[in-house]
Amino acid sequence: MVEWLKLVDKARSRSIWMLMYCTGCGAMELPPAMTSRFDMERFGIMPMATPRQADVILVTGYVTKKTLKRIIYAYEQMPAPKWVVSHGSCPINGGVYWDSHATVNRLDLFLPVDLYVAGCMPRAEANMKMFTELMDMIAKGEARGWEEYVKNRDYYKENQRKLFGYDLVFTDGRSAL
Amino acid sequence: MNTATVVGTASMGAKFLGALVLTLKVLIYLFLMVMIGLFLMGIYRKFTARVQYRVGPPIWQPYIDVIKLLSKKDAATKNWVFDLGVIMGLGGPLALLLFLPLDTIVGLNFHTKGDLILILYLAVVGPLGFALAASVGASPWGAIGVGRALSMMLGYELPFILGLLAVVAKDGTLLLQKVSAAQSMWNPAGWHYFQWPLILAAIGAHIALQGVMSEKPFDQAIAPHEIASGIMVEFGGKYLGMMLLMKAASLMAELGLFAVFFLGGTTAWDTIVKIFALFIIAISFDAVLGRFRPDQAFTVLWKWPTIIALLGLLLTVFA
Amino acid sequence: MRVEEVIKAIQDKFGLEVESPYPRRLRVRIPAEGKSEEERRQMLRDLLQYAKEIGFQHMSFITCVDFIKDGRFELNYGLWSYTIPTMLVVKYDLDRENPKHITVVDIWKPAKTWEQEVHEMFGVEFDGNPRSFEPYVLEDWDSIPPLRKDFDPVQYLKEHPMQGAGYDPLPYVNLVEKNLEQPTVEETGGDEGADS
Repeated sequence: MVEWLKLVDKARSRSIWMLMYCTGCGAMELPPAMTSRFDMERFGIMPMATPRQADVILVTGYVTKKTLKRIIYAYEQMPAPKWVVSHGSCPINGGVYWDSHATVNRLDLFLPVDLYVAGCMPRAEANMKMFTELMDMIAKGEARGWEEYVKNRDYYKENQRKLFGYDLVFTDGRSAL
Repeated sequence: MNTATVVGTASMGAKFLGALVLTLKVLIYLFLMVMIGLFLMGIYRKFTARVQYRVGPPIWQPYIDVIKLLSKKDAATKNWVFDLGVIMGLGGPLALLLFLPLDTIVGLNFHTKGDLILILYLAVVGPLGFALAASVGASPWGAIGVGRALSMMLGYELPFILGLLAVVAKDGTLLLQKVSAAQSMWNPAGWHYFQWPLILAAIGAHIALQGVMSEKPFDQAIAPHEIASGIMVEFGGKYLGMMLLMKAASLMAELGLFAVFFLGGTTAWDTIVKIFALFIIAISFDAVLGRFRPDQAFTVLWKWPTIIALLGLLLTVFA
Repeated sequence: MRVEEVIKAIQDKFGLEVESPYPRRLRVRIPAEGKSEEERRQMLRDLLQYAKEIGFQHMSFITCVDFIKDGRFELNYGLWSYTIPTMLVVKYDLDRENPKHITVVDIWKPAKTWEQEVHEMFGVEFDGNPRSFEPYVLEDWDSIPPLRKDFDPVQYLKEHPMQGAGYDPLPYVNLVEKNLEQPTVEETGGDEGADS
């Protein structure tokens, strides 16, 4: 069983599908990573069009209060072994937009972040480093943010409630998890 | 009396054993076909990457993807129509595969019963199943994808069937076995593809085959950049894994059907070789072409391939 | 029509001074003195109508500038012409204390969205444009319009600590305890951002 799980973890690490949803300016560094210069598909990393098909959501840049709502919706729609990568300095502490009326400074209060890439912006090299790091973490079973989100549901939901002023409710009346 | 009972049980046991062996053979055969189909998809990704001047994923990448997808937990429960549609979608191409001459690979002979009408019915079960599942999902992109998929199906079925009918008219039989027996195995002059006037029907059906496989320029139903992957928009995790398996199985089934009708696929192994060749041709066009708009694709399919295939059919029947 | 003809036509018809600070840019200011509110509004509408007739096809923007020391808002209506090709900016001053104005939607349809944005960011009310009272990008906004000069973002973030958490000048957030071993914000000091 343990070997089987190891095999599954290995398969998960070699087939990371990321959600084609980008916030802020960081999406600019992803096309070089996707295309022939760095070609992340050689690691099995592909962009995917919908949250249902994706494994990892990249938060690439500042997070506004309005966007965060959509990020949480998208995150909760993703099937369970799923990861969040915070990309750039804005989701860490607000970056240059720390005093904006619109941005939310810390992402990890609201979603379990597995990996941070600092920089403004991180270059495509840093992106590739981030992807290989994430692959290592997944293969070793260290990236367990999705479990943490379930276990600490009260914490995250309380924070989200404090930020938005109300509970996020899905259209069918229940949360996806 | 006693002997009769003993003989009866023995024959029951033998029947049971026979059924078990048959089931095992069917399972092994379908597993093998799906694995070859996934290998084809690996070739597709590698080939496309090389055309785009990239390294590309390893050729076994689809196997990894399927393992990963089948090991995922699903975020939301769907209703039973969704589950049923997915099972139907996977079951259609698998059933179709059983009636192709490929099944001699494990010593089955279902293909002797497979005629064209049965196969044409089975060929639409898979797409219809996934269309059913996709239309149950809440996303409007899914509904758009279903609409496109069904209209495309209407578009490519006509030239494809016209092409196959020309072969039927030539050979005077609906049975796949007899169609393949009427051709030579390796001599191209003995293939239907290179015989006048069947070559017209073959060209028409070959253009339509691009639509049957939903490769570019006829991949409107799953256009990821326009409608967020269309009919697949609500599929995730295990459902998407099933969809990949369905894709692999239907690749083998569609290409196998074409190979049997036009390229003389008389035995299993040479049919598989011809499937590879056909697939390389298809993905070469897929890698360099763009995508039609749905109305353009429909017009194109009902114009050129239909006219050519119809000409082939008429010449075959009346000349 | 050429640029000089546009300048001359507007001067002749409305008696307004048109300045051209640099190529392809014309500026007209509706004068604030000597006329009643109704006359000035009518002049603005007539000017926008006239500009549309003489070949300015595209309303590029309606923006607002907050001159807090002068106690006025300045609305800028940007009209672009592809044929002349020049940008004509019409400037209109508003009272900052009571920013009420009329819509130009019946002349320029794009104004529907521009006026909505100006209303949300500056609180200018456009009479006759029902959509301008709907929220545009901000959801659940509970303070004064954010692009006014007297809006203090740091003060706003202090009042909304969940949003402002994580940066030094701002207070840290009181959080409920997590179940796992992840440290809370109090333990890490809050300014490191990462959990580890």
